[in-house]
Amino acid sequence: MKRLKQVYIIPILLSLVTALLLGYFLFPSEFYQKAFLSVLVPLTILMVGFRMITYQRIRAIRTQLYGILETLEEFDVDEPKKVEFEESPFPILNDLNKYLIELIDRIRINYQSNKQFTQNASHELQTPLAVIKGHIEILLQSPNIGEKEIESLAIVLQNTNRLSKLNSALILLSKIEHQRFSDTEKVSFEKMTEEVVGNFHDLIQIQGLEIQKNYSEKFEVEMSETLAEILIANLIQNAIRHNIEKGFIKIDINENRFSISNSGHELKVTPISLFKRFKRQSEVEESLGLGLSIVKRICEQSGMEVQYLFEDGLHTLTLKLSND
Amino acid sequence: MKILIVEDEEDLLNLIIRYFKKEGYTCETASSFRDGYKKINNYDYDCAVIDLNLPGGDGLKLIKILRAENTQTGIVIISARDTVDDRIQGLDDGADDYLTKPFNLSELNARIKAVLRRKTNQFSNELKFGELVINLDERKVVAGEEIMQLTKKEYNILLYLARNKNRVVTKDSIAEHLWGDYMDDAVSYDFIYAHVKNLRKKLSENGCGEFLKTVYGIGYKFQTY
Repeated sequence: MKRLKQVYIIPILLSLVTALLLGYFLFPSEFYQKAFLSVLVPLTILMVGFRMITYQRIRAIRTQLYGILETLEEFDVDEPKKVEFEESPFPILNDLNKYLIELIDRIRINYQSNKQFTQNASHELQTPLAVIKGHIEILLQSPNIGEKEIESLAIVLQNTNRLSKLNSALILLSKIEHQRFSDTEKVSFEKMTEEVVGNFHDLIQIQGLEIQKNYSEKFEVEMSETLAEILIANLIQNAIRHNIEKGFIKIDINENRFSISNSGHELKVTPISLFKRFKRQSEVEESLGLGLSIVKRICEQSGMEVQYLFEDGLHTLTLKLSND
Repeated sequence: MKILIVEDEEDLLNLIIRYFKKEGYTCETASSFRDGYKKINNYDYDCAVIDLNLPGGDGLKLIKILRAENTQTGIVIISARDTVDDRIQGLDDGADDYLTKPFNLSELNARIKAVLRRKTNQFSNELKFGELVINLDERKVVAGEEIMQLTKKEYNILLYLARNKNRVVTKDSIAEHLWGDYMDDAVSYDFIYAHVKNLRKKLSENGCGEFLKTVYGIGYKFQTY
């Protein structure tokens, strides 16, 4: 109700002033002159004063809103720090703060239980998986096992392996998300790439892929070395897996970015969805569909951005520092 | 060979024992920190396989105690903890090797053999299979009179299979042995296939081709009989 009154005051005053002005010009008499001076002047002063007060209040509200925004911007769902807002003289802002705090608490509880579940689920799965794998290994050693049984076992084994890899990838993702790799150092992408490419060398050769390297300048990032290795290994693996026969891989490193391109068929899914979990090009069956979400996660964690581009039969993934 | 296995997951413990019986080891087990501590205090072992997360205490403490008493025992950690820090800590505390769960039994078998060879003098530095001799110190393979020219990966595959002789070794366990976790199934299987093919060709040329058997869809086997 209070707000409604404020809204109506200005039009009411305005119509009053207009009526007086109209009367002053239409019927120029002393009465109107007096009325004009005694009403209009104080009214004007009143209105100017009123505007000034309103302006100051708006300014105060604005400052406080910015304060709230800032607090929200700093809010990290993973940090146990309690979110606090300044007490405001405006009840409406206090209400807003109250609801925000309630909302944040709820988000936090949901997030924590979600996180706990993923973590527990993946860890609890490890031992049973190990036991299943082990028993398959033992079964395989039986001397009088038939061909049909071996065939079945091969399928069981294949799927168990897939499950086990999926599980470790999920554990890795959850570890990255929960900042288990917080030791950082200056990692040279040139050096790390050389190392990883070395590991994949035979594989690249067997697929008949040509590798072109073009390092014009250093690209160094302050990040976890382990994550850097996983990142580059994932990118190179990706470039090998989605390549064509006798294709090529091109790695460019310059001052502010690292990009890796490979020849390959055009995507059947939207580029954005590539980074989502379990989205993948259906052609490659063995792919878990987690590689690029791991890449994206590591980039976010290390202050980098990753972009995908398809041009002239060339898939390119580019990493660069976010603040550029 | 006397081996102590400290692991609280009963299923996993039984599995390991079953697998190692065939190797002719005497296996003793402990399923808690206290159990393990008692066994270590009362007996000597050639090798101890120790899980880190144990009821009643940290496996690392057990390793320190064991190492303080006996420098001859080989120690292999099996753990679900897989960060570099965990590994370094384990090795610093006196372990000889570190294996992350879930592991392949053939991998554990190969690691234990390697540790036993380094730690005890009971193993020769050569693995002999008729005409075929693998010299572990020099990383050389001799077939008959001739030294075979093997690539590093071929040598590693051959050694891994030989350490698990007369057992079926799965492709994924070979892949993991060669590259750790990073390697992806499809590509690495092609790669192993190509390498085993070359290896078999080289062995055949030297009259030792019959050792390598393929178990279709599963993996390979180094057969000595």
